[in-house]
Amino acid sequence: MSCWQELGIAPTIDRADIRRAYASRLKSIYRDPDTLAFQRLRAAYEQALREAEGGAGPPRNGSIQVLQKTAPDRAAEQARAEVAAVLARGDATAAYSVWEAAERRGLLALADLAGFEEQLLAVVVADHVLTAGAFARIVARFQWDASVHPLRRRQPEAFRRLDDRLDAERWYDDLVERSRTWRGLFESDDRLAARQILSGPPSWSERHFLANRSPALYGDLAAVARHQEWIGDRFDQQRLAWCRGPKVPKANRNGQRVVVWIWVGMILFSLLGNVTRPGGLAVFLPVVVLILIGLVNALRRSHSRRKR
Amino acid sequence: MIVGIDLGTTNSLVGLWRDGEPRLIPNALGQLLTPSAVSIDDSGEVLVGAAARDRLSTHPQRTAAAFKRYMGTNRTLTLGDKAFRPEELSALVLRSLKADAETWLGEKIDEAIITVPAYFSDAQRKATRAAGELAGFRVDRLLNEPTAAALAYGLQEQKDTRILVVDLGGGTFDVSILELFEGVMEVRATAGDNFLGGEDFVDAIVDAFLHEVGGTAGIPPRATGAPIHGALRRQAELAKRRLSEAESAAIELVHRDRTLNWTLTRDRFAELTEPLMQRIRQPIERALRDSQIHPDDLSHIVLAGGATRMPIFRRTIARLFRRLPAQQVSPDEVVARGAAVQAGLQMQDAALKEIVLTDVAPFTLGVQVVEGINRGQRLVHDLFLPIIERNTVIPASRSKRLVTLEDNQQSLVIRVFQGEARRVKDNIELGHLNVRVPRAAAGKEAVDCRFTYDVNGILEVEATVESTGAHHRLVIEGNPGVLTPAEIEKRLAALADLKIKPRDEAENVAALARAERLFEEMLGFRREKIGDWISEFLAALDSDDPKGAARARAVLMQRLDGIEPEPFL
Repeated sequence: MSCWQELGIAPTIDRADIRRAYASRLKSIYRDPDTLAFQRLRAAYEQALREAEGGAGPPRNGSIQVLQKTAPDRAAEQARAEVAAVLARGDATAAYSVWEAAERRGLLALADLAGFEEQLLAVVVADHVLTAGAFARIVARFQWDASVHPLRRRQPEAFRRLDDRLDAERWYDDLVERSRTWRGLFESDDRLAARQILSGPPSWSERHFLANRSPALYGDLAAVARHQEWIGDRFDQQRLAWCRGPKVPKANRNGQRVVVWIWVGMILFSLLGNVTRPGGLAVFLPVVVLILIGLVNALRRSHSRRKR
Repeated sequence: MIVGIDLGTTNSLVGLWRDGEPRLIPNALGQLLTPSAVSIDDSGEVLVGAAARDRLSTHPQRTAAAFKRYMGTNRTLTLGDKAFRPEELSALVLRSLKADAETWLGEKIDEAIITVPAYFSDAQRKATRAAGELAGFRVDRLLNEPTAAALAYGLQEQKDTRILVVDLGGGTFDVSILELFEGVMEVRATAGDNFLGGEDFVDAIVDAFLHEVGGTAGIPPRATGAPIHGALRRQAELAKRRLSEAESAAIELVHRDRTLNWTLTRDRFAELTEPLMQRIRQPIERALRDSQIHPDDLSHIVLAGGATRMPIFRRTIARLFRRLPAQQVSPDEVVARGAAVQAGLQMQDAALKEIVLTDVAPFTLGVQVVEGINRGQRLVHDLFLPIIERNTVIPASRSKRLVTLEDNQQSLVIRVFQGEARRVKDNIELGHLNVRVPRAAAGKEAVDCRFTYDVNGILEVEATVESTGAHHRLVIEGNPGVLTPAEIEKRLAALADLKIKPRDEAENVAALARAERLFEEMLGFRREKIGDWISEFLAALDSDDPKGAARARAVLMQRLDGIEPEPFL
């Protein structure tokens, strides 16, 4: 059943006819509690209105130029021209603050908003120098982060980019939050990974710390790569390279080994003296436990590396 | 007979459709507005209205007001030694209105239409309905306040009109855009802020006073709830009203036998309330955006709610729309008048030409999903998938298809949310539904999830597994702010035990409460005078002579008017 049959009229592009048909049908069904009939009628009505518009966009696409006609006010006209000029430069922060100032002085009314919002959106999603704070303020002002927004349907591409940036910002905020909070008794891999990739260029003493790689760190590195476009410049590239790097340089590892062997030698030497005494073998028990723990750790680490 | 009731945060009104026009009914004191305040006196009797409001400053521990703000929450308010839920306090106000209407009409009334802010959530609406039932009404319908305001205006119009209603009440802010064509009143969009109202403007004055004068005078901070704050709030409220006419208003507060003076100018007031005025803009913008109506195409801008009398509010609206709002009907009464019109429509009164009203869902309703981007290479978790979008005409029924995420997935949890944010974390969870599905490869099993939203704003969620045809249904319950029918029965019995102050004593009680309040507010000579008048009046009441008591009351009121010339309503 087509929407025209449901409404009981012949196909038309006259909105008034469609409305009249809808109104008369509505009056005949609304006394009953028959919600299904209402829903069918409503769907038909909305469909008919869409078809009458011939798939053209919404009836009004108020751009700033169109609206200038209605305002005789010189100051308001000047403010509008100023806003348009800043928008054309592609600087979202400046455009928004000029707009806000004019609005606060009462020069711009709601009627000016419709066109401005759309143009500002186009500028915001193309502006890579826009700071996180300004971005958050603009998004909150126009509620672009809502899941239902009339512009979303009209500008899917711009909103895809906007969502992308929103995700990036949210992830970054999460990361900063994560680097600051302790959970439990020991430092978790999550927090460690966040601290590893966050601050500036690595210092010499920090390099061991950066070389301690966990799956969480590789996950975060992948996220940085994914959100490169929006938040890439907030990270130090050298530091990221260190975190990503395949191996810790030889010299360091050798130094590490020498230190370890010296310690092992000293412990063994001191223990050997005890073996000859009665019951002396018992002192080896802690050593055996330590070796076992080391073994398990090594196995776990090699396993996680293979997984990567 | 059906009555229309405007149950407000500060004041409530009752009206009905009579002789082809909406009529508002006066209360026992002869006033149309009954303050939404409840107090319990020392003998355990319940006072409602002006007397209770006056007792707010003399007996703050035994009095409650502005409880509409807590509707739909689990919070209880304690009056004396009894604890009440906000529904019960509202029910006491509704009962008093019911008694007024029954006296005026001379017949029993058991059906009512109660107005609620358009932006009220599911829990708040259910609480309002429960309040109506506790008051002994069958609640025919909950009508949105802006819709009611538009009804009061829209009926005078013949041709097609588009109306924008801005409703700033005591505690809530609502914006609705309505279109009237061919006898259909269609709500196009609705937006609002449930925690913005006239009371917030009073709070701003109180805070400024405490900040500038209170600290040095030794008044404790607001959070302590000291008795002095009742009097201060009253003074601030009066100053706010006076500023609507005058350029400046003075606040006089007696504290520890000292009189504190403070003057508030209009400019300072505008400065104090700037953040509140900023919050007014966003809902208006959103409603316009959602309705896709250009501001220049609106035929009327209607103001409702007493707080819209403030000049700064009118100036902001005029500036936003570049024109003056309509004001043929008093903003205090417009909602109640609209409710009375709806009552007339419900009774199918012959004088009303048929008007059909369609309303919209104020919030977006949807489920939690995981979305794959770039052909599933990257998963975004915890996204909100809207199923019924806000401002969809109700009753509505929509469905979406959800598929499994992993291989051999055995069940699917459908979590239902209300809200506008893209991430579920920022929305309100209403409930969840566990659906078992047969094992299969990821994405092969699908569940058809249908949301049905009826005229009264009740949501039903239905899930059907496509391969097996198994049905699952979710009835949203267990919200701590909502009473179950069994609980309502129990509360009803408890309320029946309460003694209500007899209606014929209402005038005496109100006069006495006012005199006692003034006694606390004044100092020195005037205080002594008021004390004498009170004893005189009490003596007249004790003499068991109704005529003498009425005369004494008239004298007392006249004397009090001499001290406090402006009526507080």
